[in-house]
Amino acid sequence: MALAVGVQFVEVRQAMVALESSRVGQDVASVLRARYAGLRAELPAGAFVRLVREERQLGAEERALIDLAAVQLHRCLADLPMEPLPGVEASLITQIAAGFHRIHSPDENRDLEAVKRNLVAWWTGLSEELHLASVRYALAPHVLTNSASEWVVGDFPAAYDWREQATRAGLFVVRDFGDGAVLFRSRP
Amino acid sequence: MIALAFAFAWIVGWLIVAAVWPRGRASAMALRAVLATGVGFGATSLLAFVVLVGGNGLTTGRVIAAELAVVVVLAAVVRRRRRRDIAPTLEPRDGAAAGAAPRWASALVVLACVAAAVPFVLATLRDPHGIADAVSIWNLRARLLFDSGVHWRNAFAPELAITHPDYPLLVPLVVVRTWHWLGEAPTVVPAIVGGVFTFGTVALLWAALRALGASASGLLAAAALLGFPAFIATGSAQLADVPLAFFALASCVLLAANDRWRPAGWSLVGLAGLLLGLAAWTKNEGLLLLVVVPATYVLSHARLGWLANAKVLAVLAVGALPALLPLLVFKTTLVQPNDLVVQVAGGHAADRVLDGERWTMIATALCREAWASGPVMLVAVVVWWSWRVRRCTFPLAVAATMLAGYFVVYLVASRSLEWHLATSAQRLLLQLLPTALFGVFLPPAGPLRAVPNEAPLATGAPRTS
Repeated sequence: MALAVGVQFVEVRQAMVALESSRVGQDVASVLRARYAGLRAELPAGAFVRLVREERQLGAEERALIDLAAVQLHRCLADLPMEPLPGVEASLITQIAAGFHRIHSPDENRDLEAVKRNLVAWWTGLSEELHLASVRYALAPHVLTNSASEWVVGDFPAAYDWREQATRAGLFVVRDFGDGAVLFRSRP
Repeated sequence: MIALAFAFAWIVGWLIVAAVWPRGRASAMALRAVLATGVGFGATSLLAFVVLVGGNGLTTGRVIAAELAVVVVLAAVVRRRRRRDIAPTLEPRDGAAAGAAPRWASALVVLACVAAAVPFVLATLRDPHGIADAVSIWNLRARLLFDSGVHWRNAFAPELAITHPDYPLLVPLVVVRTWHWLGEAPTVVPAIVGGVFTFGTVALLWAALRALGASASGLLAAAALLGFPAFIATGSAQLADVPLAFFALASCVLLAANDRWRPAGWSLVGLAGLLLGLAAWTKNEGLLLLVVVPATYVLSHARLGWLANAKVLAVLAVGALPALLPLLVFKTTLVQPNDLVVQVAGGHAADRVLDGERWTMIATALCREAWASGPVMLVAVVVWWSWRVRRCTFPLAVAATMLAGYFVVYLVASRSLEWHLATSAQRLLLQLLPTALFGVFLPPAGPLRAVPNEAPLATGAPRTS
């Protein structure tokens, strides 16, 4: 019993450290639910909506980390010993390598440049899907779809100028809710 | 109002338990109260599903009216049962009584509980909507169902295939019915549901062993569960794994109680069946539990003869029906087949089973995740079992068979095994942890009777054993 108390007190300490590193109410789900509250109310009941976003570009730091990870991934794919990569667990590289063996050809996995390219594609796809999961939650009860739909939600960075992109995509603004949340209708 | 909404679900559960519970010792009161929590959540969730499908959408009025109607009917059943004094007598088979545990031991467990509540609350403050899987699966489904009116079928639209719309609805619908009681959808409700199931499982472990005449073991088992930080963390994550752990434990508790108390009638077995049905209504893994628990029970009671065991199976099946029928409607009319089933049906399963590397990977991952769940307490429990128990009780056999079942699923499923193990192995182990701990701390039973549960309904006079 004393063991249980001791274990839980260690947990309390760790939980407090974890909480200090984040801000209450600033988690992604809370922020996005708040950002899209007005937009959800504006949409008709049971609406299916499409998402339009700024084209994603990798930042310099992100790019540098992916380059380093690609080198280790390339070694792992060739069954060579990996070197430690700060902030990245070796087991993660092993997991990604298992996926690469399944998805990409042996020739591609032998070519470092191809491995870098594929890793960038994997990473952007993954981060996109994680973000989409949060937006999907933020827009519920409305349903996010990839198909053509009358209603389109703009999910942009707050300072992004989306007007030209919207015009090119044939969208007209229903309402700009600020903070990068815009409700469009697609032109018939 | 939040307290009233949860209290009403508990009352529904209390009345259901009271309607079938054999009369008996006060020591079983705590057990009844804890069971009522899970049964109440399960029953109100099933009711919400019936209203959702039957009424083509949920509204506050419909939810409250349906629950009130059920409470009135259940109260009448309980009252009638009491008036006619038809409740069968409950007595311990082996004469065991709930011995008192030292007060300092109780105080330590309460302290551990309070200490465990702190990381639970801090984790909830950090992620009030739950971790990624809660946001993209369980709480998403609740949000989709709450405010969608007649468009509720959108919650299972093909566009949402990536969010596992085939996952059963107990947890989302408990949240939704509570939101309807409140008339709004505060974020705190799923967190409270997670907390009730997490600490309710600890309480169930304690109350069950206490009711079975092992108060000190009950405290030890509760403390042992609190010593696995991953269990509390998974509870605060707002997933359905801890609710499933509750129902798995509860069904084993009731079958163990049936063995020891030898009540007249089959009420405890029927209630165990209902809890197994609710497990299946919570997560797809509950369907495996629905097979494993009865099969393990029958195998471990083979000497009772095929007729007695056939009756147990029949009563379990009847008890599970109120949950299984809605599940059948849900699975056959609203959603696509589960992705794992599709993968297994996709072929090459035999090749995967014969791949020795997969066996090694799965075994390694399960050991690693068991260690990561709470290494200190894991060692303590294993040492305790080797020193004091050294036998395979029925709940331990259930946990071991379930684990074997999960092992087979990992073997035959075709998706990336590394990813599959990394994202699920620890949660699956935690689903079985409370049942395994119950098995470790369960005191030995008296000799099994050849014909249990056959006596006519008693009038309250104690029977000799």
